[in-house]
Amino acid sequence: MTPLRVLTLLFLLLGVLSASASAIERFPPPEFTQHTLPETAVPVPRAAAWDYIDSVVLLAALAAASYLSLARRSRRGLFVLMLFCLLYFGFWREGCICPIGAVQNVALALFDSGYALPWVALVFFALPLVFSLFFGRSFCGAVCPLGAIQDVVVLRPVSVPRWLQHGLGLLAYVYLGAAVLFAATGSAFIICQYDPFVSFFRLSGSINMLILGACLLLIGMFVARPYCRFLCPYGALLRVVGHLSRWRVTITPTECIQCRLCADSCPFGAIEPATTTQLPAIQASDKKRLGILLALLPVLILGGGFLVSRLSVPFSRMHATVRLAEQVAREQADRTRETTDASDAFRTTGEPLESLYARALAKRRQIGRGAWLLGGFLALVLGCKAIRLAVYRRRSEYQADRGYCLSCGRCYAYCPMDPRNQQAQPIEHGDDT
Amino acid sequence: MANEPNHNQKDWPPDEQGRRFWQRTATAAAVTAGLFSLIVSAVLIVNFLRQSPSRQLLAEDAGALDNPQLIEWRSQLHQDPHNESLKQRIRGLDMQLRQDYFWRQGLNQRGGTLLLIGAAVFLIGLRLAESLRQRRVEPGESPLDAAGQRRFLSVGRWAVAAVGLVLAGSILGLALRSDESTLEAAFAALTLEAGAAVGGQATLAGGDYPDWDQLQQNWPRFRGPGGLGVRAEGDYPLNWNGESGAGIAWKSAESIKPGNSSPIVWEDRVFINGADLCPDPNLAVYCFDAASGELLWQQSMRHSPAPGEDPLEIYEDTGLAANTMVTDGRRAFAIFATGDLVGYDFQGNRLWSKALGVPDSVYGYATSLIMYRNLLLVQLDQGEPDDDKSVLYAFEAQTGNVAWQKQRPVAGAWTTPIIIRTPAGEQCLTCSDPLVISYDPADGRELWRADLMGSDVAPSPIAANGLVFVVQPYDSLYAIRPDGAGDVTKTHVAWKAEDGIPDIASPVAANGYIYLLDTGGYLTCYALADGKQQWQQEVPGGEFQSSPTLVGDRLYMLSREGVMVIAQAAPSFSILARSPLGEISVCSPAFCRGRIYIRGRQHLFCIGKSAEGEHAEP
Amino acid sequence: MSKEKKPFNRRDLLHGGLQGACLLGLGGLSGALLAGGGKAESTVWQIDPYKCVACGNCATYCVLKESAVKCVHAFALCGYCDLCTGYFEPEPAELDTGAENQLCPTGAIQRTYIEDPYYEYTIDEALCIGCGKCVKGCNAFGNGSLFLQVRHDRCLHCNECSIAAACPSQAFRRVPASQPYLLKEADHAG
Repeated sequence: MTPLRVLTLLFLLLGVLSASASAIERFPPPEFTQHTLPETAVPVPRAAAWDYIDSVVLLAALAAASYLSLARRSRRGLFVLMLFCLLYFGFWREGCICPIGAVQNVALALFDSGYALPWVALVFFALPLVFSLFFGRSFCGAVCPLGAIQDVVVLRPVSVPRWLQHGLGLLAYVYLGAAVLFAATGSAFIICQYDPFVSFFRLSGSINMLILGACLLLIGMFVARPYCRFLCPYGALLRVVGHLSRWRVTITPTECIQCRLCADSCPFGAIEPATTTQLPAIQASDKKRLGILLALLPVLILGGGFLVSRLSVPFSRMHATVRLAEQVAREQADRTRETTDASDAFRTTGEPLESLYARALAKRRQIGRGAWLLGGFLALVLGCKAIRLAVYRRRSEYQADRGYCLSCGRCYAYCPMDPRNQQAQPIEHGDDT
Repeated sequence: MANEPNHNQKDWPPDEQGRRFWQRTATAAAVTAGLFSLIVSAVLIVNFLRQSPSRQLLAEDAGALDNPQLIEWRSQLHQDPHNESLKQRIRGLDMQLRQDYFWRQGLNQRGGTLLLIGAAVFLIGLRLAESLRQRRVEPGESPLDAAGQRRFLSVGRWAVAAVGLVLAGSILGLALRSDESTLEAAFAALTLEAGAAVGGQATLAGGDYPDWDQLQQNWPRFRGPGGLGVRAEGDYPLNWNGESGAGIAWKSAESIKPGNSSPIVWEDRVFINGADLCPDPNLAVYCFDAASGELLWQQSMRHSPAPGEDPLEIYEDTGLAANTMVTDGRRAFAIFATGDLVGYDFQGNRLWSKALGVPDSVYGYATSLIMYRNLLLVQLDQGEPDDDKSVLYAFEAQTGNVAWQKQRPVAGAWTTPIIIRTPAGEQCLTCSDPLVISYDPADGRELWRADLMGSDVAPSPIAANGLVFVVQPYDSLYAIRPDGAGDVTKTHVAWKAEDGIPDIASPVAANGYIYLLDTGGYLTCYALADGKQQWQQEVPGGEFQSSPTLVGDRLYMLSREGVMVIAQAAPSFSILARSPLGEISVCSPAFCRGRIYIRGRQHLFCIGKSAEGEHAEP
Repeated sequence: MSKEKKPFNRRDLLHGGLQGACLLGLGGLSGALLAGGGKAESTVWQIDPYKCVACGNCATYCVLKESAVKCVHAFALCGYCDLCTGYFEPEPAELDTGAENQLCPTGAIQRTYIEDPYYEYTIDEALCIGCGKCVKGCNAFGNGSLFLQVRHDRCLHCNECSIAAACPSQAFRRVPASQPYLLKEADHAG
């Protein structure tokens, strides 16, 4: 076998000599007379028609959800629609595309003119927002597959204390802000990366995300829809828009008699109790508090911006260019350090180091500016929430908070004023163990 | 709570007995399905863990089928290539590994589906049982009275404050915990140690002149920031058609005076100069709105011949306005082939003007203006080397006073100087027949010179990768290390190339390669480091007089017929698009904020999305 | 929906105004984005074979259990070598199809005799896991005719491809759906 060895070595030597560039015809392709070269197969991507079908299904589902929650007031209908959407958008379309992720596409398209936004992403981003501007969060209630998979596991929800709900609800804005920052700077699509349920829809995925998703579903048996209420970045947007909705889900079809039967019916803690009386004349201390909060808002925003801008270095490491530049800089400083695939690939491009560093530093400056905005935004959200909680409102009836109500329709069955409930058998009073 | 009372179903549940039966059935189904799901999960987890122990011995990035035993045996086989039993063992293990792998894949797939079905049955059962459970619906929270409401809101506010504090705390913790980046230090060290000349007008912040970032964002002079013809990133159009108007954001009216100079852009303004004879030279400067193309102002002045001045000779191909303007973001300056230098503020008020005398230039004076900090540098080369007529002027931008001036022993040239930054300081690099001379731009002190040039020098110098590049037309491309002193002709030429040398278009370099485009359309690529020729390609499109520009890794090359040939640059060359302007053009286009500005023979074109679709470039 | 007529007040006005502003903003945003990217074709993920360094991340980072990335062969580029460095491991004991000589961990490459001294290498995509071992071998010492491509019959078209996020050489990019492959071609190499 020695001649073969020699031959091998010869070939290797030849290879090394000419290894400076790839795809060079080191060995001229033979010209066959008898043999025909096979074609390289190119399976076609899925048809573009799916974009249209998805959009139409989304539109129809949103319309149906709005109709069912506002006009028909049918929990059963909403539930069936939700199952359909779970099957269609979730298991059939495998969770892509979804409005939650589309937030990032829109953010990227806004800040990077080089990115061509697929129109279907824009449709998915805008349609639920438009609907919730008119009909409340019907998207969350019955259309969103992520909401649906959590909704079907709700078994015995405990009520989360109101203060905790207010507090945890703010996390969604943090997630939203961070997602927009990282998407707009082209660093990462964190919403998609950390989508806890998409691995269920695809029946595959990284083990970490499967565990995270399973944990959220387990928690979701007792704390209804934890992702929707405390994390979902798109939900945060819908919450804001939902506050402005033209029509809303009402618990009672007629008039609230303050029977209090519905007070605990909402697993999402969206029902706010009525208030007995108009508050006596607003006290000076309340006015003062509101004034202080309003005056504090600009300070908060600046402070928040400054604070978060301190994170520009760790934030910038989300971007591949910055990671690469730092790795290369470390390798330059310490020549014994092991190189990575990325730094090896960089060195084959022949790009000068200073150009890489300059690109990375420019990216970091951009992310630093974004971090200022993110900090300001978070402070604004906190401030607005506090201001909202400094204003008294009179409610003559038990009603669902527009922001928190997910239009699931569970409360309809609790209202004795609903004729459908009056015709039915009286509520059984048995043991409640 | 979640399982709403079933008021609205008339016959569900049918009666007490039926209810109990269904509840028991549902519970049993749920328990069975739950157990089933647990078993499936256990199988899947075991399946997942089973491959782990052997993989712990492997490198982190080992493939799914790598196995230490197999690797061991394979290396043994290298020692002993004739060991047939070893071969058999390897084949056996290899087969087993493959079968295992695909079996596990299949198991995961089937297991996942089974688990999903199990979970679905479990949930349905549980929900059914739950909905059949007898429950009492009790009135909940009573309406809030004033005190209750106040307490309710107050607790909410405290919760918000607490979240704010927790967030601030975690941000602080994260900021303190993350290690400092060494990137800035590495960048600074690189420019100091390696003697890298970073092309560009390096200026400090403060003072009455723009800083580095502002210059980078705009297109302040001929060939953009630093005069390098490079846009490191940004998305610029590929396709347009000047005749049909496709992809054209706007084009100027026909009334601008002719000129072969190129547009410059500062934020929302585009400047251009033009001149005609009627019958005296009439020298004009135009300022357009970058977004809409609206002509914001135009100013013109006449050339007044000095006493005893020879009648003006105009070389047709050059014209009177081949010199590109320059701006510092506050003022815009123009010079014409008549030697008239004029400065305007952004509102179009004339600040000052100078008549430097009609330069004695064979083809007409065409050098563009440049700026260094607050100095306006004018390379006024003319005549023959020993005529002693060539001068490099530095005027104060605000006043027009001469800061310094330097006689140059060179002949007339058509190049534009650049400012480079080296570890030792900034240099103003000029390139004429026969000398390449570098000056200290602050005071005009000569730093080094090289006797390399000859004939009519038109391509402008550039800098990249710690080297400066000068072109002797038709003859040679020289890469010079800019850290010398005195005459460096014999000592500081890093490398030299002689193939594909242009006579008009300037070279462009980035990302490790330099590109030369000659008038005949041959594009030659050399590696910056060693001058090794990478490839030569013929760019279809006829004659090329305008200098190529590199945008990211794309080369934009404008032919005289006005066709922009856009190609993927090194390492592999491929033409991406050919976009016609519909007019002859010899200018070098300006690339700014996603738009391309090209001066054709009749019009100034802005190529890009029209105003509504525009977003600020990050 | 019936809605009680309420006396007009400040809150309603504010509410209506904000709602209108939201609608306008959303409309404006959509309009601007559509006008900007109106002609944007739908895109799919693909690997630029000239940038790919065959690091093996494709095999492990895909959200699918079996990666959507597979090796393809540009036959027109292939030298049909007997000693194929994409097929054989670095120092094969013999140039035959014995498992101990093969580089591919799943035996996905088939070696067929054509005529002396030429062999044809075809890829059984059902077996290929996209590890890129053969690509590395072929690039290092051969013509580079083996390269990785996203197979669009398998790709889920994730919004953000997780292989792209892990790709060390930025070889992953979005390409127009009408031209979903970036194949190596013979004249490109010449």
